[in-house]
Amino acid sequence: MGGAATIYGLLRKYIFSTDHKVIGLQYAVTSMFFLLVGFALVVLIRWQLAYPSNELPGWLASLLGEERAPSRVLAPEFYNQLGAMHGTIMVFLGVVPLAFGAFGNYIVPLQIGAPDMAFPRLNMASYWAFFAGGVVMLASFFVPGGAASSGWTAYPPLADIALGGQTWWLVAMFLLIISSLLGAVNFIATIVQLRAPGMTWFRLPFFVWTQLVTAFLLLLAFPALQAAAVLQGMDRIAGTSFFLPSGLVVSGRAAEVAGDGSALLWQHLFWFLGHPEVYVLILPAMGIVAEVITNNTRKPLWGYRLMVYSIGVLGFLSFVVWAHHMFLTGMGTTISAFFQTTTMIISIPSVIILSSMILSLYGGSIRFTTPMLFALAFLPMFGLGGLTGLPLGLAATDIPLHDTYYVVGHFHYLVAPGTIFALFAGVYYWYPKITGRMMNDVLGRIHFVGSLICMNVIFAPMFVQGLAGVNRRLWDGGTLYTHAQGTLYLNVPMAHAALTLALFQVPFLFNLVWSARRGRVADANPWQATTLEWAAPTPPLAHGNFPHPVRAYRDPYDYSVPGATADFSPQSTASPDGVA
Amino acid sequence: MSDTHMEIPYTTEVRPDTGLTNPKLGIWLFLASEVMLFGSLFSSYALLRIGAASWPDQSSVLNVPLATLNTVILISSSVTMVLAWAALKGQRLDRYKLYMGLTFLAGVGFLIVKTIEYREKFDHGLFPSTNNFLGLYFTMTGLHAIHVIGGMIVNAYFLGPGTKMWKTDPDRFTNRIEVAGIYWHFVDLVWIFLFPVFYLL
Amino acid sequence: MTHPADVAVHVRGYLLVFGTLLVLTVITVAASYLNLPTGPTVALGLTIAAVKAGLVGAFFMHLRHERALIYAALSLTAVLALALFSFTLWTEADHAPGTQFTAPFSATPTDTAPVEGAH
Repeated sequence: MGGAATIYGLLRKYIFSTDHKVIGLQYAVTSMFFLLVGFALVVLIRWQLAYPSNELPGWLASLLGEERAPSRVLAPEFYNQLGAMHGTIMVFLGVVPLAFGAFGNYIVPLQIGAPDMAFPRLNMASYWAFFAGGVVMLASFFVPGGAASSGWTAYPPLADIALGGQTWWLVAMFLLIISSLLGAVNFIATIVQLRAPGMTWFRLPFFVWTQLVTAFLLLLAFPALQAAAVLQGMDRIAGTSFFLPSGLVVSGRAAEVAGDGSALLWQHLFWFLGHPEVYVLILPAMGIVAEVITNNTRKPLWGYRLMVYSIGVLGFLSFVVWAHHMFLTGMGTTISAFFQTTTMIISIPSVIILSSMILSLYGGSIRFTTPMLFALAFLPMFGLGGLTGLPLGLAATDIPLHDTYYVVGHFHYLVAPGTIFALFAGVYYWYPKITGRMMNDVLGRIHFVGSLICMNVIFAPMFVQGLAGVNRRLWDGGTLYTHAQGTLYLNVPMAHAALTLALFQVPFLFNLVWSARRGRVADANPWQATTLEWAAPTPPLAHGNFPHPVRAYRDPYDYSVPGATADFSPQSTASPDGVA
Repeated sequence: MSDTHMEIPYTTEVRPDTGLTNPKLGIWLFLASEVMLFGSLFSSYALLRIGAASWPDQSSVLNVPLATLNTVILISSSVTMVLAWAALKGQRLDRYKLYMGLTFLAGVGFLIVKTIEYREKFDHGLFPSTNNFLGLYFTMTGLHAIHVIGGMIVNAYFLGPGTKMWKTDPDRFTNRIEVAGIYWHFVDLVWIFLFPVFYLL
Repeated sequence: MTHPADVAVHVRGYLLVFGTLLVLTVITVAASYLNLPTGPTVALGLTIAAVKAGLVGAFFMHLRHERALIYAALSLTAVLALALFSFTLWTEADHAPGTQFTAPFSATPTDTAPVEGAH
């Protein structure tokens, strides 16, 4: 049988496992590591913007070395690497693998009553492709010229001709995209085919719906960036000029390429992925928040069907709004009007979903558990992030705001106190199913309050700076521009808040590790939840999850069913009293 | 518990309400992403060609007769591939091996012709960097060729060690060949568009 | 178990499609020698390709008898591929080459001091 005691056994069980739960945890650990890396990069950025051209602390300057910090001052070239890699790592190595790879892999098969994913070995391959991409991405910091430094958006001509690790970025993206595509195939096939008997489409937990739509977004949007990466790779390696125009002059010398290419072609291909990508960032978060809210209001989700239709419409529309990232590229007024219209329309399903979650609170018996705190905070934070997107979606108002800090504030509100808060909620919520112990509540509340305040101190001033016209991606924050002078002082509290935010993650990280051994022991269903994952043992059985075949008898959120003895009726039981 | 082999439902049997097996759904989803991949590249071709200051006369730069030969080779390989599956449906393992072998050989032939074509271009000083037409030609046919190689590796496995499954689980093996065939036909499909777009238009 | 006779029917069908594909290949190559103007050439070439692709899909890939879910996924894909293709072209229609410099910039770097208030 090959017990776990042998090296081979250990490898098969913990490293090269095909069990979706092990793979999910692998994704979780790896992605959290990358979130910390991405965070470290931006703390450096924030410090530089607060104290531009100041000397870095001695230990940091020697760590970075003479090239990255000549005379102990952060080099502009290195600042650009920090910017490009912060975005890339957070989006592609941090948030998506955590939201989709980790939570999706672990929870979806359980919530649909399946023994595993449809293609377990493909699942394992997906993780290792992600891991390989991550290694290449990190390694790129150490190549001559440093990491990619042309923004996470890698626009040509700059990205085409930039010295340094841009090619490594392309290779890493190639691997990451393969990982996502294989994962997407797996998720869709699993959700379609492996639902337990009785688990009809409209009995699926909303979380599963969000993962399904997310998978379709990844499946159909990522190939465009894959194609673009191949083309940019050819430009950089084979001397083609797919994205290089004629007449390009670099550093006083004419570029020796055939030319006649289109830099805008890259933008189209990138944003065809890029826009659905931001919905990939938010959809799993919406799914988690919905789960946590309904569980902690002891009420069914308000407007479940409406939310399901909305998430489908949202997914589809996300494919036809992409050029709102390109309003300043000189497109004709008709096509501009088209993209403005679709962008305005896409806010409707978003608002429906947010409103449904808010309405779900009304009349609920609210339990202010730690996951619920994060879920509740998500609502106004996501609302603010979404509302600030409206002027960006209209070309006229986008003109002064494009590429300013307003945009940075907009999307960070959605991703940081938005998605990441939802992911925190998910961690606190599902931790007892994975480990059998509760995370510490006091530490959780400290983590919550500190993170909420710090995130707002960091991101709210960005709107002020953006409205004043401060451009993004400036290594000195805009000290050379008179119009920026009035708002640059804000960089100082923002930097301090960034460091403080880092400090407030310490209780969380400590809690994660400490509670696994010392947390309060939990039974199989400590939150008294209705969805199927709580009907599995803790932890769910390796390679099979459920000891006996499970069936769905009810809607996903049968809380406070009239006449039932308890205020929740699990999906896995026919009687509302929770008896099989 | 170590890696016990638990059964994933609907790997071979069809799920009643969807009418699909997992691999059948899986391969079509994968091909959907491939459609988007090659679709992005064809879109790039269209944009670059329409916007180009000048574009070469494609059929005088490229070797139309060789490409026509390759088209016939690939179409033939598609037929042999589907006949390989049909042979398994008719319980004829020997016929299956013949047709699968022919499919593999056709792939080899395709790659040989492609190599000759590429060499011809390089010998005349025509490289991807020469202009965007050639850049796209090499990139898109090159990516296609990589997909051909991928398909050939899968087919070789099913001609070699993979055949063992015929004895233990013939239905599952037959389905695997059908799924591999769907992928192979897709590779043929892409060429059906690459051929006129690059050689004839 | 499938009867050899059933398989034979399919095999005949496949060979028929094979023949059709070869004929269409000959037609498409021959048509290219007609030297039609660009518009009709593109339309004709792509139409013939689409017919060939349809035959391969319907008969070799068994799409003729596939399930609704597969048709749905493929239809969605087709719509999105079409959207990518057409909206990209439409957006660039005013200036398809994208960035186009009419004459190279001067080889000597000009004064690069930033102007106040400008980017």
